[in-house]
Amino acid sequence: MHLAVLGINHKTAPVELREKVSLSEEKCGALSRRLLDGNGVLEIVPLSTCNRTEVYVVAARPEAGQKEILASLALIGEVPVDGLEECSYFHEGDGAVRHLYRVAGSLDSMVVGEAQIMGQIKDAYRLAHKQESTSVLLNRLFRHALEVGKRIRTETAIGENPVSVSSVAVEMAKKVFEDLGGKAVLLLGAGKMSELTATHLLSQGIATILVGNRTLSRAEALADKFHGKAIPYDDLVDYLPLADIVISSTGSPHYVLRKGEVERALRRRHNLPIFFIDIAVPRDIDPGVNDVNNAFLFDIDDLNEMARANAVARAKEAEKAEKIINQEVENFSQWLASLDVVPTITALREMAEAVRQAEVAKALARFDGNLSEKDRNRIEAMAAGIVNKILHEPTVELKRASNERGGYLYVESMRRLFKLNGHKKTAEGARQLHHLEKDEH
Amino acid sequence: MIVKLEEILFIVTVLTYLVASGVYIWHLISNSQKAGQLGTMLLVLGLFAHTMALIFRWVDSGHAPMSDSYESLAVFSWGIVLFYLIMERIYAIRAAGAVVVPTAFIIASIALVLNKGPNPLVPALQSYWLWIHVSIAMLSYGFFALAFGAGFFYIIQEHLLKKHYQNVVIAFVIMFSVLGLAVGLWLGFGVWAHPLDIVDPVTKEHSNQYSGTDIIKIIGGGGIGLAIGVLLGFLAGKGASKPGFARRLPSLDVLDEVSYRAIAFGFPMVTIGIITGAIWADKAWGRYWSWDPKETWSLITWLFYGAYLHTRLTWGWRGRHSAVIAVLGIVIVLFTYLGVNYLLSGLHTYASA
Repeated sequence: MHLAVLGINHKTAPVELREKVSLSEEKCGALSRRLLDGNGVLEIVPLSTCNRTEVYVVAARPEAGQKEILASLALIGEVPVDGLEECSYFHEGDGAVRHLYRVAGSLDSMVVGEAQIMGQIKDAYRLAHKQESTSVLLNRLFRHALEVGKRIRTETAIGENPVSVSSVAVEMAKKVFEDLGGKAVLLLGAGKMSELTATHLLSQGIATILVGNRTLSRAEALADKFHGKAIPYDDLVDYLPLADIVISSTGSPHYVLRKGEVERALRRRHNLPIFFIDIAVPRDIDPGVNDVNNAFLFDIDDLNEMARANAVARAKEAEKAEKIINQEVENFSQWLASLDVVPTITALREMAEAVRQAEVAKALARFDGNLSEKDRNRIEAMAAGIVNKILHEPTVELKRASNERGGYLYVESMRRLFKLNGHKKTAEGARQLHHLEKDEH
Repeated sequence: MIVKLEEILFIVTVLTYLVASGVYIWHLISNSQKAGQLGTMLLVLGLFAHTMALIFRWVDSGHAPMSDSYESLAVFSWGIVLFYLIMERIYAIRAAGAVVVPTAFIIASIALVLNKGPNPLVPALQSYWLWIHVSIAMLSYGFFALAFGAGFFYIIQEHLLKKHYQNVVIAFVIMFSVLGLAVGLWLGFGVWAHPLDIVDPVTKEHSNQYSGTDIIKIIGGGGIGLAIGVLLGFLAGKGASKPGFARRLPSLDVLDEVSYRAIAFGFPMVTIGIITGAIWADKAWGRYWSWDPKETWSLITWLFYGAYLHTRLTWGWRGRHSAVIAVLGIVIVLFTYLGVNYLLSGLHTYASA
């Protein structure tokens, strides 16, 4: 049996193509049924997010499924097969395992360290499980991948440091105010950047948004969008004491807020802190404001610098994550190796042979050498006959099952029933995976 | 036999706290989760040994372990560790352990040095007021220590935010070296130096006379403290300049709130402590108030934290100003608690006898 993945992602394919081959639940089901139906594909899990569409399969033969998957995806997305093939990647065996683990650890994401991918993998797996398109191998692979993703999140700081300017701003605001719920934001200037940051802040439960802009109509338009309130631009200093967070991005050539004004505002709000974000160039807020007690000012350079430093830190954490992935791929491939049919049959035969020899020797010893050569041979032959007869059916059946969906179940049962532990490391890898499965239930 | 066991247990406790301090600091710098878990495990072990040591002491001496410097410090550090472990369980604030655990270690190690073995109670202490007065006073000190910790972290976090988490090594070195110098000098004065107690024949007033070796010990203590402070400050500053450090410190909002709440609880406690002390003084010495140094300094403590609450509630002070008061307050608390016993003499000086 062969594990493989075929897919396209944000690195290999343009968004137009990704949109087309993006798979809804129904499409996933259709694709799975199509491929499972006599194409040599035994198990399948499609994974589709806005940045990727990937199909994980277990196939009976190497390379099996690649063409069929491509054809089916092209059909569903109504795109030419050649165009799709050019943008796609195909990994087999350990390569496929590693690919899924890197996706789960968000190392393959557009923003390394983002947290949504774990949920998306979980959903994709649940759906496939519900549609009964998975069995032993993909069940374990996906459960293990989720564990690996979790391990990377807890053992590395990959998701910790925000890497975009607006999320750095939100994080810093949260270091001043523990909870942004119920806080008031004052937007100065109606630019794209301030809008983006405001959107980010709104998702944190901001209660009030005030908008001040030189042209009142634009302020009102933006205020409507955020269910906020437009304020007269000339009176903005009067509104300053109401704001917990000020985001400024006006096109003004000189400072819009000066130190003295901020000091007065803070006194009027009994020194409750104000967090200033100045994303305008040239700057809107007097840098001296940062020296005022309980006022915290970050300008665009500060935020960019922090985002950059955070990206460097993430890259370092990504290296740690790769090491974890190496280990886990090794574990999984050992478990996989233990499910190989040929070594299992060999091990079974070796065990039976050892038992046969021991028992024959014991029996012969009882006769104290009173047996003729002929009798001895007869006893040996009988023992060998019993062993071969008993092992014949299971051997044939194992070989046959190995090319079937869920065939690993037989191999694993055989190994467990007869305590065929192979080499120790293999058993270790298998046991770890076994624990993971138990945790799931 | 039981005495020996108690001493061994206490040595084990102090050593465990030392190792745990290192692990907690490493956890703060590296953000390694394993280090954090190891730190907690060590601390729980240490607390267990500590508890056993206190129980043996109690059984052996026959009274609550609150009668001398060793006992009160041992109980104090025990309370800090217990309180901290509970807070860690509830709020997941392992970063704070990097300050709290070394503090507990320093206090416990001073207790270790001061241990003179169990002793019978001085007659003046033989009263149930010992329990009430001492435990309430200790509780208020505990709250003030918490306010100090939160205030200390407030100042760090505020500085980091103002500097946008860049180039903060110098500030850390300064802050830690001041702290180290203070602890070192105090160790030199209070623990290593043994001044002669001179009684003026006419006025009967006590005064201390420090010898040359004492001076060397004091300066040496300060020097070692300073050196350790500079080193720790450098390491902490390097760690804090890394991105992601911000995440490990609580927000200004929380730190300000914790500091304020702790003082809001500690202030009534110290008030009750002073009142119960006065009642007990009346029973033991026949006077409610005799301007004994301990009494004077507890009044100063009371006024100081009263000032914190006053500036906050009527002048609207908060943030850094309040945090600075909370940090300075601990100096007065420590002087009232320990300094008075060693540097000044009076009715409360049971310990230096």
